[in-house]
Amino acid sequence: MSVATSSVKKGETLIDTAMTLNAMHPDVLVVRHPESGSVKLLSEKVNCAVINGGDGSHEHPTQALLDALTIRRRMGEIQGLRVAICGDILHSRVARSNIHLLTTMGARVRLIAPRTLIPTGIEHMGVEVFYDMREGLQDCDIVMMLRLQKERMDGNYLPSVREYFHFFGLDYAKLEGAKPNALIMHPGPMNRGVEIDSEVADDFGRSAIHEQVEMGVAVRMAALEILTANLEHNAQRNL
Amino acid sequence: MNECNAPFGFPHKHLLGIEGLNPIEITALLDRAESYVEQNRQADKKKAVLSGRTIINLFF
Repeated sequence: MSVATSSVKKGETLIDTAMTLNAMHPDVLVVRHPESGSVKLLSEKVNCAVINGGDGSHEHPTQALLDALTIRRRMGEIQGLRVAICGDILHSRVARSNIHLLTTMGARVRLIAPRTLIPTGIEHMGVEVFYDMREGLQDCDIVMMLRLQKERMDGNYLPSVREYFHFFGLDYAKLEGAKPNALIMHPGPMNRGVEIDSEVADDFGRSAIHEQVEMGVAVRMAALEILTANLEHNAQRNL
Repeated sequence: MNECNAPFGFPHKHLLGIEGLNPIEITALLDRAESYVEQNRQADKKKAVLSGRTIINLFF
C-alpha cells in the first residue's frame, strides 16, 4: 500500500481542506467524496452544518429522501409497501440510504442482484435477498433500479453487459410478476439497455424517473432551509 | 441539539445519513420538501430563507 494513495493520506488532506473552508465561515457545506465515512469525519472538524452529498458506498441521504417523497406522492404512504431494489447493491450508497429509510418507515424491502453484487451480511439490515428478477419482483409495489457502473462490467463482478441485461435488466417480461401499477424508479443517470430497457424507462404511466429529479430540488431546498434554521435556533439559545 | 423544539422538528446539526433518523424526523424533512414542490412549479420560485447565508458545494 502506497502512502500517497492510502486513506490516511486522503483523510489528512481532506481535513486540511475542511479547515481552510471553515476559516471562511460558511453556513453549510455540501460534500460528496469517494471514501465512505469521509463526510462525517469532515463534519467533526468544522463549525458549519454539513450535508452528505454521497460518501463512497456508504450513504446518500438526499437521494433516499427524494425517492421517499416521490413514493409518498404517488402511493400515499410508504408503510406496508413492498419495494424491490435491483442491481449493483454492493457499490451503492443510494441502496444503503434507501434501505435505512424504507425499513424505518415500515416498507418491506427486497434486494435483487447477482451474487457478486450483494454484500455479505446485508440481511442484517432487515431485507430479503433474491438472485432472480422474476422471483424477487413478484407482487412488488415499487421497483427501484440502480445504475450499473461501467467499471464493474468486465472482469470480477460480471461476465458481460449482455448477460447482465438478460438476467437483471428491467424489461416488460420481467416486470410481469410485479403489481400492475408498480412504480419504476431510477436515480439516474441510466444505462439504457444495461440495467433498464428504454421502453420501460420511458413509460410515462409507470416510470417516476422525471418526478424523482423534480423532488430532488424540493428535498435539497428543505434540507438547506432546515439546517440553516437550526443554526439560527442554536445561536439564539447560546446567547 | 437534542431538544424537540427544533424549528422544523429535525433536531440535528448535520444531514450525514438516514441511519439513526426516526420516522418523525424523516417525515419532518419530507413534509417541508412537499411544501416546495408546488412553489417550484410557479413562475416565482424564489424565497429569501437563505438570504445572507454562505453555502459551499464541495464535490471531490
